[in-house]
Amino acid sequence: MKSEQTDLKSINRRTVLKSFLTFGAGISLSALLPEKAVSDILNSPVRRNYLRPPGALAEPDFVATCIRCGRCAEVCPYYSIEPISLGSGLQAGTPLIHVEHIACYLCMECVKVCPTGALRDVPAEKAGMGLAHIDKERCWAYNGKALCRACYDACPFKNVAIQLIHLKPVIIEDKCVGCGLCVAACPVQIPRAVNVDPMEDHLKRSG
Amino acid sequence: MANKTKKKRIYFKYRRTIQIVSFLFLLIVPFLNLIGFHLFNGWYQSLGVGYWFIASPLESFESFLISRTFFLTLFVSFLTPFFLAFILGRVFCSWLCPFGLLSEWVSDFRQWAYRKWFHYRHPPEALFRIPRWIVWTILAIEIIASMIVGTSLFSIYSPPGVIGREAMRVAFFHILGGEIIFILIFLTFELFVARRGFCRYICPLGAALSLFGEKRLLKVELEPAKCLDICRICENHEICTWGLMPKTGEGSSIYCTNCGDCIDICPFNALHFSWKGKRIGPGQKDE
Repeated sequence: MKSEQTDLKSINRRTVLKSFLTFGAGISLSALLPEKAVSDILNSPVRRNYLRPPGALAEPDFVATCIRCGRCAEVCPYYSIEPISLGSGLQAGTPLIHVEHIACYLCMECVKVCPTGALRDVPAEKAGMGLAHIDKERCWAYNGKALCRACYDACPFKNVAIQLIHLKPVIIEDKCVGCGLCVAACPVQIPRAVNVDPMEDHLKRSG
Repeated sequence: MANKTKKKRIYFKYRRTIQIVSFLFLLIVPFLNLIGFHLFNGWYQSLGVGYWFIASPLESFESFLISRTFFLTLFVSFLTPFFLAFILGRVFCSWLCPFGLLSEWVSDFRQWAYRKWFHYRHPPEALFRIPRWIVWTILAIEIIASMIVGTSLFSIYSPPGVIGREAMRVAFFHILGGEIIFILIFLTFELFVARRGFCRYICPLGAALSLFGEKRLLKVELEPAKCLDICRICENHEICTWGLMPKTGEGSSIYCTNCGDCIDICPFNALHFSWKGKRIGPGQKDE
């Protein structure tokens, strides 16, 4: 009992610093691990049709900044944003939008509540989530199966980000923000004729 | 006053009420958001009340360290819990943390089971001796490991965060996300290995709050004139769920969370909360 008492009394800044230093040195040895091993456990869940919310930082910065508080998901009126589960490893809890399921309606509520700056408060035109691509072989309007313009009708920036040229939808790459509403609307199923690929340079676009 | 057989547990009553309200708050907020009421938003990793943002200090700090970007909103959100801990000490752990409530219930069950089934008079605090300073080491490992992998690790397993996140997942998507396993692991650890083991020896957030609250204004102090030497009620480990001994002045040590359990139990009102060294709280008029 006596020893524990002195043990407790002697906790001061020096003890704290000491334990920081000793074990800090030990743990920094793990920095010697091959770089591949470290980067693998942080594999990004962002891929085709799985996107970050609007205004998100570029991928390594986003997961560095996000504290997984889930407020963006709670505030989303369309339930588009879902905090991903533990199956995604160290990315668990970060927000992701599966646009085939529920796309982003660009209401920009989430960017207003993010406390960390992982989602920057940008206007909808600069959401920078991704870029839609039309698969011309599968698209009904292109291969002549139907006069479909579902993606054109769904786009929040009609005639700006998507145009009908000779009744065929064409994505204007400079203006498309990748909200995925066209993907959700596309009647061609698995895979869709239009898909959103994440942007490599979110930050530049949302900048 | 001392001849009263059972003293009223004044602080415990308030504390348990606040804890339960805080726990229910976490469970209710996702449902309020679900129906479009966004005044309260988030949970104890980041809570928004209107435009008042509060962010968990450890995660904020890690986020700042890893991203190396100063974001004013995050800094302002960091200030509320920081000053709460700076002035009142580690009160989050004992008065607000939803995991703290579960942990205390597990602790009560553990003590009861030891006595009932294994006939211990004084249940051991832990299976083996765990040094208390290990919590600083874990804090250091946590921060450095987070910087190595490039993401805030505590935000994944933070018990108050996980409870809120799972409540939100249940409300919005009707599933559990798997992080609930951390809560179960930690509670199992507390049940079988060490009493309140996670909170005492592991929780990096608690360690950070302890550091912030080192020079706190609110402390548990002893009035030696009133204290009876042979009475060792407060030295009984079972009173302090944190395993501290307030009689030896550990109420003002860095580990104390100001829960007030020892004050409640003292039959002579020798222990009391003090604000800047001045006695406050009930029990002054007893003499």
